[in-house]
Amino acid sequence: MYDFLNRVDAQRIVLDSVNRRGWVSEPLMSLSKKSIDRWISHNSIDRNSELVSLLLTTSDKLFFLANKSQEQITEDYKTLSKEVAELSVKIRKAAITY
Amino acid sequence: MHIYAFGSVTRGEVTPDSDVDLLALVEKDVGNFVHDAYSVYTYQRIQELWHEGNPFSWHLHYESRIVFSSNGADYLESIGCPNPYNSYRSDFSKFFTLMNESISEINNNSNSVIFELSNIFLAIRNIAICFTLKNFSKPIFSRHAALLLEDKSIILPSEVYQTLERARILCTRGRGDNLSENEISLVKSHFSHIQNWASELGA
Repeated sequence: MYDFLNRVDAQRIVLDSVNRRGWVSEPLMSLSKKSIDRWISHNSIDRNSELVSLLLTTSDKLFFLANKSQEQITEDYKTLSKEVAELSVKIRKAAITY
Repeated sequence: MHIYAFGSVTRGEVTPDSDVDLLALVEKDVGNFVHDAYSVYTYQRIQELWHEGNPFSWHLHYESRIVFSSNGADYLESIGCPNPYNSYRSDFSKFFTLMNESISEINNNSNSVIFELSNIFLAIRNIAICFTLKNFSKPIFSRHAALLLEDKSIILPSEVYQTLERARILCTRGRGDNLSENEISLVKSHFSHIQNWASELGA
């Protein structure tokens, strides 16, 4: 279940995957869109890369989950939680190969 | 559909780092609101928060101002006062856990230190807000609630507090100068003090 602390953990795992690779200027600080934008521009990251696309998708899903009731675990909600976990794995690979 | 402004702008707490917090109430979130610009809630979820007496429901009750209403009515006013706040123990536990996990991550050489410092600022702020919801006749929702708790206020050197706040703004708004190693070290040297302050509020 993605309650508040689990969402923090999900972000932490994604950030660790991205920041294992040292970036030129700054690490990725969070998965907010504004933070991702800053990281892209400070490190001259290709906006069209798979890595950026995966990060933006994950950001969307985490914000969506943030507004969901913990008590209402619908099938959509379960699917989204699973998708975030799968995206984390893809991000790790994309960060290594970027 | 209803749109409200809430947060710092409704308190007149405006700084160069302030954004306008906007809440959109909808029947169903169909993706037409950008989640970075709006907090999007369904009417059903808002009613649940009101029923729980959730801190966010009290925040909106005290500090939201209507911007748009598709039916001319003020929805939040129409649903009245949230139920009494009675989840201090679990809210405190949640944010104290967040604080301790983030401190532990930093002490274990996290590669995302600014994210963790941002979490610590969030935990300090929310522990303070929940404390005022439980103990004060009028709760305080300010970003600086922890400094406004009278004899329970957090006492930190201003540069330490400001570094934590800058981390939060970097993470949420992507604005500000990156933190230096010295600034981070200074904050780290105050971790036990921050944890002691929080423990006292949870006692």
